[in-house]
Amino acid sequence: MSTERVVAVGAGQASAQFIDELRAQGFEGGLLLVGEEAHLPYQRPPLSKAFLAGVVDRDWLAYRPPEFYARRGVELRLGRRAAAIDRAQQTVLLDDGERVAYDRLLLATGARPRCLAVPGADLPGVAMLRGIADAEAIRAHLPTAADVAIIGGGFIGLEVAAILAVRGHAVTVIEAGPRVLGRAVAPEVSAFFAAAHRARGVRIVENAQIAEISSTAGALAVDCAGESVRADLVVVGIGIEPETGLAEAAGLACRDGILVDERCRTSDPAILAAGDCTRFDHPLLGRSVRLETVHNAVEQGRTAAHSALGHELPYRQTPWVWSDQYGYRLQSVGDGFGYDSTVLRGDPAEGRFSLCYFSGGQFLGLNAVNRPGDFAAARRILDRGLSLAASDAADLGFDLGRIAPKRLTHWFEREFGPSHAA
Amino acid sequence: MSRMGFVIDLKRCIGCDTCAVGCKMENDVPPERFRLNVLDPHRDPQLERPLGVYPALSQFWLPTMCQHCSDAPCVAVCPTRALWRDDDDGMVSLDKDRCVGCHRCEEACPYDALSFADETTGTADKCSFCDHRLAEGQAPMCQTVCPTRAITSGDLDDPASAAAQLVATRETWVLGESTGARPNIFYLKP
Amino acid sequence: MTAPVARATATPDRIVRTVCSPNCSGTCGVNAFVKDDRILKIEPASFPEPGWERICLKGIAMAMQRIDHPDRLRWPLKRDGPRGSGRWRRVGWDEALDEIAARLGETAASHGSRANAWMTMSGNYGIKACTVPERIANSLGGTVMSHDGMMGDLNCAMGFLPLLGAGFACNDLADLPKASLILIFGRNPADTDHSEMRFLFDAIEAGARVVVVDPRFSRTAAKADQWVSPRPGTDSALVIGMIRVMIDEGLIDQAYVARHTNAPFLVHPATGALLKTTDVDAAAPADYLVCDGDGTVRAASQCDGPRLRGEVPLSLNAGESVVARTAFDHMLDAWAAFTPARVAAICEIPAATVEQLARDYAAADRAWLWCGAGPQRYHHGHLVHRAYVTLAALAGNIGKPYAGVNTLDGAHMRFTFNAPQSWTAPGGKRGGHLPGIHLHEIIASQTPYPVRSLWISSYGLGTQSPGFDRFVREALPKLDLFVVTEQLMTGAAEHADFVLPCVSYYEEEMDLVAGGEHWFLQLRQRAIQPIGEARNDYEIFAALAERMGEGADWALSNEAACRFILDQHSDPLFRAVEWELLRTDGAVRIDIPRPHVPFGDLRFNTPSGRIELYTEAFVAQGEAVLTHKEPLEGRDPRFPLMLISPKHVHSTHSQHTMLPWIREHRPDPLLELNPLDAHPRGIGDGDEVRVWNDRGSFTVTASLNEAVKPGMATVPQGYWRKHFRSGHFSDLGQVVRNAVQEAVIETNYPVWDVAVEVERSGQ
Repeated sequence: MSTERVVAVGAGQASAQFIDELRAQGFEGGLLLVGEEAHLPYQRPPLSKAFLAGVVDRDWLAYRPPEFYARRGVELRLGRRAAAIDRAQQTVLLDDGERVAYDRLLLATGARPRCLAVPGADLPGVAMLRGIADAEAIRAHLPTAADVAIIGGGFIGLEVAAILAVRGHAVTVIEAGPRVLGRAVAPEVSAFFAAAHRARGVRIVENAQIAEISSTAGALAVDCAGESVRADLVVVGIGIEPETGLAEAAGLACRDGILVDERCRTSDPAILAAGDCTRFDHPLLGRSVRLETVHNAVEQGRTAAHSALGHELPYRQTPWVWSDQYGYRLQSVGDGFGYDSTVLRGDPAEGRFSLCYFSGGQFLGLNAVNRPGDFAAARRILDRGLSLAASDAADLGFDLGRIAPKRLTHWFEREFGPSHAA
Repeated sequence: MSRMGFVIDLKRCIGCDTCAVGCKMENDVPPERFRLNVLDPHRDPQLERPLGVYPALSQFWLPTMCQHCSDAPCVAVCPTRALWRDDDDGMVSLDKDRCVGCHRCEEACPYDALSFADETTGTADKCSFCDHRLAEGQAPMCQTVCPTRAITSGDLDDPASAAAQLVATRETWVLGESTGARPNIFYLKP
Repeated sequence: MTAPVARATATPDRIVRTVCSPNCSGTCGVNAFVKDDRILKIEPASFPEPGWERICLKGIAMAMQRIDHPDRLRWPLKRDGPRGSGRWRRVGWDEALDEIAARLGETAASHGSRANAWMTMSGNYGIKACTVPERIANSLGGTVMSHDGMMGDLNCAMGFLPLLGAGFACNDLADLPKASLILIFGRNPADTDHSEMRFLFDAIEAGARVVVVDPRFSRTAAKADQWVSPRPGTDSALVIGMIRVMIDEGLIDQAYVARHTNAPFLVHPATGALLKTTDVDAAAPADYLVCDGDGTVRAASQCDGPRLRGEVPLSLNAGESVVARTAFDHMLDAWAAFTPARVAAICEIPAATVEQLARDYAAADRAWLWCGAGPQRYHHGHLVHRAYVTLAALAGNIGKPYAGVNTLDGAHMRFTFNAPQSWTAPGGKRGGHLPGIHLHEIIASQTPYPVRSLWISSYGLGTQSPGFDRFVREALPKLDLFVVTEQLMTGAAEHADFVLPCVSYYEEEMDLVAGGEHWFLQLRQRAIQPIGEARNDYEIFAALAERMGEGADWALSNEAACRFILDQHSDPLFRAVEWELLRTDGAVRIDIPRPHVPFGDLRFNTPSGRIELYTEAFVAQGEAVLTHKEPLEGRDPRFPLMLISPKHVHSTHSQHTMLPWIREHRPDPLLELNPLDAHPRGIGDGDEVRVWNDRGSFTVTASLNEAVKPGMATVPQGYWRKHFRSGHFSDLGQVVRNAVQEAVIETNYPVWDVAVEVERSGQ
């Protein structure tokens, strides 16, 4: 079937990238974007960083400027929810009754914050942080929130803690597991960040399951691990769950995410999916994953666009993610899943170091803290499937960039012949 | 809508590196990093050798920097919109406050335009077209300091601009045409 | 995570127009953007006329990185151990100058005031900086060690002077586009006149043809229509070959030669002297003798169309009879051997090229010879520029617009080397004057008279002079006092007794800088306060003079001194400059006519008033007529490669090679060899090599480069001893006295008359 009209459901970065790539590849047909939030696609990472801090405003968050959509002939249905997909008719029913037809459909419905299933989780003053509205609500509360409890010691929780701690709030991070960032990094890196937070007055409570949240005399009390934490504001950041309702109802294959292949195709040939809502067998990691990163969203968006046009741009990206807390930039590339040893590069006491993950001698990935050169080199090493010896990794004098040097631009050699430098 | 670009006369370029050093000064480019590289055909910026065998020799130099491509691959891949091409002036700008140091741009750029110097944040750096100078009615620094007047800049879509006129009247060359990035530095052949 | 406030684009407190002036000769006008007494950045300053705005990578690096370089000297240092031990004690100016003055006084008392010597070179074109070393020497009855020969390009002037009566000439470079043929001999403007290269490109776009003669494929050669690559040191042979072709093919301007040169003059067949009217009749008004068309001997001024060739019998005083021929006949005799085939063999270029160059030069209606200092850096290098002048004269091109022989001219040449004597010799006092080219021998041998102290300024003696290591061993021990005024601890300063910190261009309170390659006089004014306790050369010497009882002559302020020099200048062009205009505009053009045509009046300050192609003063040296003499070195089979140390765009002499932005682009010196010379020696690209001859050696990394003519090696000049693994290329050179050069001014430093061998070193 020819592609003349494309609909994207979910107005996040995956969709915006999808639209950008479609037009860049010469697609001239109809494009329609449906999004539940009232906003054009925006970037979520700043919500727990500069936006929460009040340093940037809403307009700054936009992933593409407003005129981008008009100039590329994209119809918008913002503030509208897609209610159902009719795969046979190839239409999407919106919540106001409008039916939009598609030749190709992208599902980029993203994820929703996991709910805290305890009594009092819906009390006023208990907030999630997923979208602009959430962040603005938290920001509005901050002037009167001396004590803040953050439930969940993952990236979002710690970033919020960092913003609030430097603004003088008394912050308590309550983590269910034995250490913060437990699902993301090895204990050495958890310890570094925990120490960084504690040094700035953040209290971290580990191994703490929440029993309930109650309200007393205008404040909240979070009961956990045998204590009651007083809070004016509670921010819940315990992860996200993929929004697969629409896909499941339509009968698409799902399992903790809409299942896609490395071309972002679902079980329906006319339907693609990208971003936080998808699960796929990662070609480089060799296992099924759901990646909750901006990187994945935009790369899948790009791949999906090619698929929509009948081209191939297989998704083969080593995962990476970043987090900014205080003056520390954590950049993580690869996948430490199943690691059996780690190698430290540099000294955490100096505030910059990298931790390398190995499994049986094979380099899996790296967390770099203020060592962006290591991060960049590790990405190239992993992308090219090269090896890194643990002894070299440990040696600060060994420049990781030597293993995978930046490639001389191919066009140069084509125009001028081989380089002397090669 | 304009399409800002450069025209670099390779007959006039003597490879003196003044543009590269002037750029470093004007834009506080960190040590060992360059927004602008002057290449020679053997692509050894520091070892300069002509093409050919004595005495049949030729040599030219090639200042390269961000080509402010009309279809910039870096813009297409940047996950935080740190790199963006403004439709109104056609320049590809880099907002360091948005950059998270992921290097996708460097991978995608056919022209080695991106460098990374900040040892903490890992943010990218590249030619900004000296937009801060353009805002004051001044030419980019490379053009200002080039002693042989080899560099011209301007709106390539304005037929009256010096840059557009050079492209219209002289034999030009763009680098890596096959990449499809549609670069906006036009080189007048050496 | 916002970016730090940019330094360069911060709002300046002030923008100061000043001048950058090392010996690149660019003398660029610079706008220094200053904030909190630091330079944010510099930009090219405007001139009263368009087209002269420029700066370069060196000037940028100097302004931004040399002024506050970590090694910048900030206060006087007195050595605190043996010379060269690296042990220093910081002292105050008073302590330093008190002691220096006392020691100078002791030396004068023991050995005469001339035993104290001063020497300067070319690090700073400011008029005060250039002239105060001579001024202080004269004030104190000390000795000026001249810089002429040691500068290494004196043969340009010495080739010109006997023929033209002037040491230099150059058209206004802005007129390059008016030339039809630009024949660039041994000059690399793309590296050494890059501020003026735009005019060469304008010329090319206007249709001029450009030919470059250089053994090496230089940056300029890359831009030329033709590149000719002669063996190093053989340029005079090439030019004589061209001359011979022109003569053979009737391409010389006979009328011009007969009228404006001494070619038609009659020569005594035995003595080689030019015959005079007084040789025939002692009572006659003195004049030279020529033959007119019908063979009658006449006084030169009485004959409009003398013949160029032919013999004539003459009866001289005291009954002597001779058969005299013209000077031109003698020239033809000398040049007969320089056939295209022989020149081709000497120069290692095709014979057809010699013929083609000659024909093209003769045929061009506006043939601009642009001559550099490279080919004259050999023992007989004065013959090279004599050759260029001879070629141009025979073609009738001297005094012709957009033609001529062009080396260097600009306001600087007229201003600095003609500073008023009321300034350089205050109160009429004069000391001694010795040829600085023989600095080493003079001090080592203490002849012709004792020299027991030496004070140098604006001079990279450690890298830019021959055999500094030998100087340290043989000459330095004879000095009771060695003072160096510097900005950085250079190779020479390391061996001093006192090192005194001087200001950079940007800290200088006020000075005048005359254009090295243009006709503007510019005002240097202070952009930032002196770093540390740095002072300018004038202030340093004034404080010394004060202590030695000569303070009255050194009481003028910096500004008053500048005004004095301008008001008192012997050249009316400078006296005509309006001070207030200079203050407000920062640059004023000297009123040189347009176009500037050197020798346009065809009057030459020579004994005959003509171009003296025949120089009887050099009969004894066999150089009455232009000839070619081989380099001193290059015939010893042990040392088959000629080593040259070319100038390059990355550093003016030794001033810039240490600056980070320069080092990022050209970090270390490389010895370049043609693969034909490298392969038999087993030398690969990037190998470390040892370069040596009988006088010394150095080790360096090799680079194989087709640009280098086989039979030679090149190493870029300006790098310090520490930039080499061992040694320094200047250790391999020498100075041998040249009688002709000594007769004109002094022996030139033949920097490239050096033959070497190269081998892979053990590493």
